[in-house]
Amino acid sequence: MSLASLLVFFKIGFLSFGGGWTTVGLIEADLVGGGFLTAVEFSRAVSIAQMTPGPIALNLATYVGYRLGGFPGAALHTLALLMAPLLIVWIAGALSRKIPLQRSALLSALQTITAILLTSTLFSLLQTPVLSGKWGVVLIGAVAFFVFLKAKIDPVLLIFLCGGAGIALGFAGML
Amino acid sequence: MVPIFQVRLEKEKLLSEKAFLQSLGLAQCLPGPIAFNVSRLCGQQIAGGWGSFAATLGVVIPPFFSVILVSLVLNWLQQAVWLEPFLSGVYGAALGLVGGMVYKVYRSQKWPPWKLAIVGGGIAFLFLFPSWVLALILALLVTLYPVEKRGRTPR
Repeated sequence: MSLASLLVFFKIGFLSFGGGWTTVGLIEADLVGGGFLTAVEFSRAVSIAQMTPGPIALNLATYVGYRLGGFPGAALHTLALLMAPLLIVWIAGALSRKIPLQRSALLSALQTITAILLTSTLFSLLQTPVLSGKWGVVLIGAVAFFVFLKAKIDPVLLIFLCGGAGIALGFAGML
Repeated sequence: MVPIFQVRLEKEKLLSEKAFLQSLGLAQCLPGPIAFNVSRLCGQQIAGGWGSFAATLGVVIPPFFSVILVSLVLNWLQQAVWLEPFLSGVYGAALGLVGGMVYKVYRSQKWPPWKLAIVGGGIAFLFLFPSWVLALILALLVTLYPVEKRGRTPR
């Protein structure tokens, strides 16, 4: 654990608009690029954060903090991520009294930004060296994509089914 | 998580639908996990500052301990031969779910060419300069907000 890894999550806190997944690509760039975690460790962190209940960015902060600095690390990294939303409420409150913002216009603008961040996250999840040669994982991803869109399935169930599919493909030597 | 909040809060007669949707709308404009912001704002409406504090703790503490619990269990299972393929499968699920979200985000909006150009440019920019993301977000907010606002104002 170091001040630098805390700053990564502090910074991410300011950038997480439109749901936690928008920032996963950014977290990867900072943590793997900064040498805090390897690409393999990060992909593992994503899997664990995803199968644990709670917002993904928050879970990722807790898990990475725990890996880097045990229990205190987990608490500090979680707090670092939440500092920005806690601080910004005061700033936003003061600002909205001075400049009356039109909420629907602001939301539309944020949606465009969300599209950019979410697409970047998808690219960085696909780009990781962890996936090289592992066509089984990409296949599971493609099936999960269609099931998620077409069937009204509980995402948690889908996550564990995919884990099961991973085990099956692994033992069949297709992973 | 968020739809469950709404159902429970209405059922317990703690917050009306209108008040909830107001909090949700504001939560979406703020940075940070949406579930976190929604609970904080709802707690504020129900019981003021302490309500907000209690709601925040309520939404943060369970995931915090479940992550630690899962890490401990996985450490304990480290030798299991099925663990690595299981986690790979879960990673596949992440790919599928994020892909689904990307699809939904694009489906939910209209895409005039200028907006597509901005999104394409933004993705390329982030790919080349990932550390400039804050500048990119601020620049886009400052440019897009007036455009969206003008599109909405009746003339």
